[in-house]
Amino acid sequence: MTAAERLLSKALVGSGLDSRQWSGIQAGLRDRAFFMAKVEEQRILHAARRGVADILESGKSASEVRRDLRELLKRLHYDPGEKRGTIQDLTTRRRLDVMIETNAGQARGWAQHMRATTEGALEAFPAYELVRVKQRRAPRDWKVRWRAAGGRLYAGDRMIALKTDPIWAAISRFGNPFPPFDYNSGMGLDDVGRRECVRLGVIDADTPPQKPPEVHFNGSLHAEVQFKNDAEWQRWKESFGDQVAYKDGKVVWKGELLQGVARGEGTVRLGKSTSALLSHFDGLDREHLENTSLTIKGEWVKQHAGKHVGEGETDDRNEPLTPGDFELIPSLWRNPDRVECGKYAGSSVLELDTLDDCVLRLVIDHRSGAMPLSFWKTKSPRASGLMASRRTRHPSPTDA
Amino acid sequence: MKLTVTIRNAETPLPPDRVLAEAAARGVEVAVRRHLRRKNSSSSRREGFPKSDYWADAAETVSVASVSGSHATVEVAKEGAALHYHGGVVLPKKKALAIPLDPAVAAIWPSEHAGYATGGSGDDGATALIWPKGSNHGFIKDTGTGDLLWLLVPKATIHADPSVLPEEGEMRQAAEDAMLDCVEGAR
Repeated sequence: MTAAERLLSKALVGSGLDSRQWSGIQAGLRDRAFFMAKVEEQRILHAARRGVADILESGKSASEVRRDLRELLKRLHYDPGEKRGTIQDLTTRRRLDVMIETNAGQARGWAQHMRATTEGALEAFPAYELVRVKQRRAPRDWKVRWRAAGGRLYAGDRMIALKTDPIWAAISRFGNPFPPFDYNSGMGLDDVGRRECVRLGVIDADTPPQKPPEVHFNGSLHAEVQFKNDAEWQRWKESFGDQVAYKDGKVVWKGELLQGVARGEGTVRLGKSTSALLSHFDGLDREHLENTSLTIKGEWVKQHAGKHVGEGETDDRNEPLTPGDFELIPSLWRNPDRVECGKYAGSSVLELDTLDDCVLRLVIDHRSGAMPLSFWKTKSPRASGLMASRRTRHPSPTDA
Repeated sequence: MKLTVTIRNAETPLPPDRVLAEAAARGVEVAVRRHLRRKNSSSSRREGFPKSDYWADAAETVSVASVSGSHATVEVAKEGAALHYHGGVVLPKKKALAIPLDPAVAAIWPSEHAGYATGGSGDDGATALIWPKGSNHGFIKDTGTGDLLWLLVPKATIHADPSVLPEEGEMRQAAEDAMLDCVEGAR
């Protein structure tokens, strides 16, 4: 898995939590989420994740990503209010750079850690050394943090530990055993060869090589997250609502489940219709939708939406769906930009504009319990995109 | 385009042992990363501009791309690293290449600046294009302050810089050292 693929596999999680509150979320769960402090709008997260992935895989510049995100925020009528110009203002260069550097850095750090812990790499280079790789005007005192986490210094002041030592996650603000270890830290890792480790006393000459972490087999860095008790589960539900789910004895993000559904696996229940969705309907249609839940099944994706994924999309007017697009289905269901009448009686087209000047369209049969019929992505001229924030009221049968 | 280093023995292939081959590749990866970090430390900063840390960023993109029975490949994925090593001519995606003249727009593209103040101009980033007739270069200026922000040129020539990679002997030594370390561990 490449750094970009790793990033794109993270579930979009919108919430009002600030960075300090996010730090309190279990690392195993946090590490599988793509989030921004105090950002609830899924489209912003979707675009930010795509932008950072583009930097990682196609060399897109941070300047272009900042430009595109500001454009999206403008189209979403984002207003930072009294936070304008501060780190909490999503349009500022500082805030966007922190988001880009942290997420790109973590994805690269993860990929590097995977390569650094193959069998051959571990045998030749059993340890890491924490080193400064970029100068900072006011550098943090990492030796203090290192010692506080129980780290030993070698050859005077070298911060060295085995690659599998828990100290690496302990010194990290993000709970990861790889860089970045903190926002804008300028610190990185260097490999230390086996003979040097023996010479410095990090290991003995007869210390057996470490075993590569199990991550190589299941692609996940952390053990599955289990909730300790009902109170903890309630706290997660309060913070994340329907975005968090409990499945087979472990806690998962619904975004992860939706990525599975995009591959044709599993089922995701997206909760009951919201008042924002119902505001598009009148009369009998509204009655049909009230208290109705939307369920997306992998089987349905295979049979219907799957033909619009990747190379399966053959209509020039459409853009191929990516697995990430399926993660916007909850936004389509909860708060669509528009709702149009479908081709068939009782069907409606829920529409959501995206950053790449496209419109996601989900067709549901609202008279038979919000059954999904089709899902695709249409190319759209910018003029008819987010700038036109009209809401089309769905005509009720009585209108006719 | 990625800059790649292929590791193979001229007379005999890499050891058939996968673990040893991985170790050799990792040794070269580590050597290239350290080399690029040193290059970053010694690279001078453009006067008045913040340090770009281009080579430090390039160091973080070094990776072992593949290991097979006969050879391994280490790559530097940073955009432009291959161009610096081999040399070449950079052509614009659109009309011209924009080279920042003012530290306020360092690492900022004109398209990002347009309509968004970087601070200080008080004019929401409003700019004007100046391209004298017959000239082979132009400028973008801040209409609020009158400062020239970017120099516009139709192309730029980058001279080949072999110091982007460590010398071949250094990389060979790194591969050998890593294999020796690996053998020590297996004893």
